[in-house]
Amino acid sequence: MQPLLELRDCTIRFGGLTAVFNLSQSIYAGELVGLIGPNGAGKTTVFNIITGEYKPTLGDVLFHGKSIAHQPPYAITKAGIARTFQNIRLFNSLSAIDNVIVAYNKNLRTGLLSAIAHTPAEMRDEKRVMDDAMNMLAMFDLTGVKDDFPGNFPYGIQRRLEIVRALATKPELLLLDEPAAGLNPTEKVELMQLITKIREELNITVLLIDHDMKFVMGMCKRIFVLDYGEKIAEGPPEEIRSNPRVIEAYLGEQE
Amino acid sequence: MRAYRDKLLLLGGIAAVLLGSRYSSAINPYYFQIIIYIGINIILAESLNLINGFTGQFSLGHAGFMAVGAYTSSAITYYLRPILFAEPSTFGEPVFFLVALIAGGAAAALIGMLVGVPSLRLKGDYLAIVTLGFGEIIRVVLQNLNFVGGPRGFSGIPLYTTFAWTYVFVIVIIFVVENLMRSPYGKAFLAVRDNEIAAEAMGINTTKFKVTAFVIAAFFAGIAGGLFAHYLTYIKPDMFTFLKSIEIVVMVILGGMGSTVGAVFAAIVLTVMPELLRTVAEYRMVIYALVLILLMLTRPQGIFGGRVNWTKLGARLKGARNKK
Amino acid sequence: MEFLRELPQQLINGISLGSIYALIALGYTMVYGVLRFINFAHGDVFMVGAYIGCLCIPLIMPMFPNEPVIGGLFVILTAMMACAGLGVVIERLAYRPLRSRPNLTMLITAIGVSLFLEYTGQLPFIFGPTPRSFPMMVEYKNVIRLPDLVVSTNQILVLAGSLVLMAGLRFIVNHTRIGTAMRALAMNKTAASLMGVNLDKVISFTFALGSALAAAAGVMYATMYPKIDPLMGILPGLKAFVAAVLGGIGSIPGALVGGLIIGIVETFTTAFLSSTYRDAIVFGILIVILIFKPSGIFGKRASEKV
Repeated sequence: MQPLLELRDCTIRFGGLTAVFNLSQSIYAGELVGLIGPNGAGKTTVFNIITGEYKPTLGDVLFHGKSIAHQPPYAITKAGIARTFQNIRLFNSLSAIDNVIVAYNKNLRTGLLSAIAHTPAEMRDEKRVMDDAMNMLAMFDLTGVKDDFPGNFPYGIQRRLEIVRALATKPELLLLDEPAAGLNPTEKVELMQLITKIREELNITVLLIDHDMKFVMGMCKRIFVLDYGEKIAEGPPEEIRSNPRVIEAYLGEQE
Repeated sequence: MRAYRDKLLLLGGIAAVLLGSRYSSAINPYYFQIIIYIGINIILAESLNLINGFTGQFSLGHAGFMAVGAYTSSAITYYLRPILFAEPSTFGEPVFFLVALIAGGAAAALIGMLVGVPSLRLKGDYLAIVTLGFGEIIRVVLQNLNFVGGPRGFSGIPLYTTFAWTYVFVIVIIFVVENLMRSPYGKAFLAVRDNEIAAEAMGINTTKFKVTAFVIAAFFAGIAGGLFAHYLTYIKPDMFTFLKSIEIVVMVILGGMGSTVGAVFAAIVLTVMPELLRTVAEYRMVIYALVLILLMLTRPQGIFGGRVNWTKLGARLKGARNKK
Repeated sequence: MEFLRELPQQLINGISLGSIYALIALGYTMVYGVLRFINFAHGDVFMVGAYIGCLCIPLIMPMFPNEPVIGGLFVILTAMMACAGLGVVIERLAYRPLRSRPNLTMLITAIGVSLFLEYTGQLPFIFGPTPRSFPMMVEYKNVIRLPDLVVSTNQILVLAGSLVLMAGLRFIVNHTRIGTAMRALAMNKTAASLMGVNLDKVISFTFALGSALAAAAGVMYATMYPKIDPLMGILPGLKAFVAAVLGGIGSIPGALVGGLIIGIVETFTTAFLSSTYRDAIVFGILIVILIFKPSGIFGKRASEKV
């Protein structure tokens, strides 16, 4: 079976620093894969390579078998990969629902001139977008805050909104960068339910990074581990938990 | 949804302008001049608002686009009028003027694209300086084009600008910008302003949006330039220096970046103020500069700046209407 | 052939002009280094320096009837000190309160300060809008008078003065504590403050230093082109900024190299092409650099963390 996303011998160098070295990884449709590793291992860098913020120095990234390694981020999102960010990047001068509406730009059916002239076709398009955005908010219990500005939201709600916004781009693959960071245990449980919902109701493949071992091991059936930019292990949680190289990589860190 | 309200306002506004233009001859010519300049400045401020306010880019070369529009439309009317209109024509000449204006706008838009595409990869300060540089280059080029007067200026431009022409375009630009900003496209512009990396990650081709803002803004600045040229009937490259660009920037900042109401307000205030300060003319720019500094220190978002929640505003207005 | 014959002369002219641009560019680059901000008003400090020099000449020169060079030195020093003070005041009042705000706010404020200096200068009781003649300090004498090369005392003094100032700057930046603090601040503001560097003091000092150099440049420029007016700082300021960017904004050797290049390009354009295109070519260089190599000749790229 062809993988949905494949990284082939990806290497990225920044000046003298090699952040990721020779990484090969396949993600199959429908999976929930975890990416873990000590701080500075290069996990977010891998995300950035997949989503196009960085271009790999060597190697390739394939989505549905086609190379996306040198495409700009917006093109990769249009192809069907969406992401959230480690430090939340919401649009603070837009209301919650407007944040989500922005994500529909790639799926608009009418053009700029129609928007300026406010044609009936564009009005229909706008309504379609608005209805869908409202549905998405409702699906994730955010209807109550739809007209408020994210700057004032509690962290957990901001994270949820960022995920919903990414989902509004109608992706096949969703990358979550440390979605559980800064959440309290209750919020983490909610997040786990949210991710399950995403996979089951929306049929989206998920790749996530996180530091919370319980979170990652509890959710992901398959995990791969990065240390100093290289993959050191891959497999189901039980194997990873007892892998000596993984333990050694983490032992350098104080929790 | 704002449904058909915008088109009603558009048509209503144009009707009001045409009605008002009947009385324009009755107004004191001094006040009339101020009214025309207010209109032109509203167009300039609102067009720059699209770049600075809504898309969050900083352009210091807007006078350059105005100059391109002014010179292009003037060259067309000056050279073609004697050929096409040996005798004045009440129908033909206004159409001719409209064509010239739009040509001026189109030329400015083209320059806007040429400037925008390479520049919009730059951030903040750098973009500001590059746009300033482009504005100056445009001015220097115009200074060396002798068929439009060169450094001595271009006179003999037909006096075509009227109250109606000016304010119809004011209504048009407000219609265009407001509709644009309320649509999902508009939200994309704001997204680019707020967080470019996130906007790109949400599938928005940020460069295309930034260039689009530039091109639309340049088009209207070109129109404003054409209106200006055909009112003054004489233009000189020195009228379009970066000092003029800064004047327009101050309008946008004073009014509030990203606010149409603010742009209109600031255009009015900053057109009228110098007239009121005629007596202390030499202090005008000093006061201008102090106002700018104080504004940045105390209220950098301008008078009407800050977030406007369109959806909530619309809902509030709708709710108020429903209550009736 | 014409070109080769005139080359040495234009080269000297270009280097003289270029060293003045370099002095101004140094101010831009140092302030950018510590604050990541382009001080739009810098060119106008250059103008103030020229005027202070102009006003001081009738006061100072008579004290040195037989040593005009020493007198000139004191004139320059006075202008430098006055403008150093001006730079510190501007920073304190207009820029420091905005340090936590987005960069664009400071840029706009800088534009405001620039306009303020230009138009206050034009007030009749300050400098007045009409151009003024800058009095001669050192008697104009042609030191070298070859068939194709004429070098005046003025040019020699400008070159010498610039060299001295730049050497002095180099010394301050590389061999004093405050210079090291400046460099540390430019590299990593947070770490520098954690290491005990007093950010405010160092930033003030940077402004003082840059403004002093601009003032010196102003006086020297006025000896070369003796008509001064309150708007004289706009174009040289912009061109010096282009020089700073060309050399790599934030880099001191870059400002030097950039200044010389711009000075030479401008002089050559005027001499061999046409003076009307002089300014456009300088701006053209700016645009080309920012599009193809925004970090300039010596600069380093800074990128945003995703």
